[in-house]
Amino acid sequence: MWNHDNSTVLSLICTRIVAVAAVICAFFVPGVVDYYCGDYTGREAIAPSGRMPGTVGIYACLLIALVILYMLDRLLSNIRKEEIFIPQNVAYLRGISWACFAMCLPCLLIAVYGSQTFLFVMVAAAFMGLILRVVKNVIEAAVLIKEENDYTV
Amino acid sequence: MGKIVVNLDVVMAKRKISAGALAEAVGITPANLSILKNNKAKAIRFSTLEELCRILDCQPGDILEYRDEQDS
Repeated sequence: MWNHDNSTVLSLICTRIVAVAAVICAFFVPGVVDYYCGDYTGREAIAPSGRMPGTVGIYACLLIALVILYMLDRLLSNIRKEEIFIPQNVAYLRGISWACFAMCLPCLLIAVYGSQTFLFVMVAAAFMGLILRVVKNVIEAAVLIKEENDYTV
Repeated sequence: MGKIVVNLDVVMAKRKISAGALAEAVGITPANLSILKNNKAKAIRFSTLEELCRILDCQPGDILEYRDEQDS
């Protein structure tokens, strides 16, 4: 029978698989950048002059993604322990939101020096950061309500 | 800005009733009574206050007191 705990475990497993995939991807970044530079046909690929900024930008994105995945892992672990409306989870959501905004910088770097496709990724990351910021505000309010409820005699 | 102070321990001492006995008589857990006694409570239900007043034979004003920040 599918239940709440199974769903959390599935999310946790997916998070860890993506984290492992991100680490594996890190080994192939130079090859991917070389491939795009070699097949440079215009706006969709990375210009040969953008090889270094492209590599640095993608590594920065991977690093931020790993930070986000770590915080997601901790968040899901807390949810599994039935510790949902706690200040620590608000801090994780705040961190993930800021990390999404931080992701915009390397994306902008790649967009300027390499592929303009990353402008779309930049906007998507900023939008995701904004959504998570609203979710963080909701959980923050819920923490206050829970605290008041816990201390009502 | 002032705050509400709970003087439950004073009333309990006057009535010579223990925390465990009061918690059982009122129908709340000893942990919740401790929260109330130690001024950590954020709110108190009317039903709890009614029971406290009934068991301790006192008025809400004997248990709760408004104190100005300057006074404390």
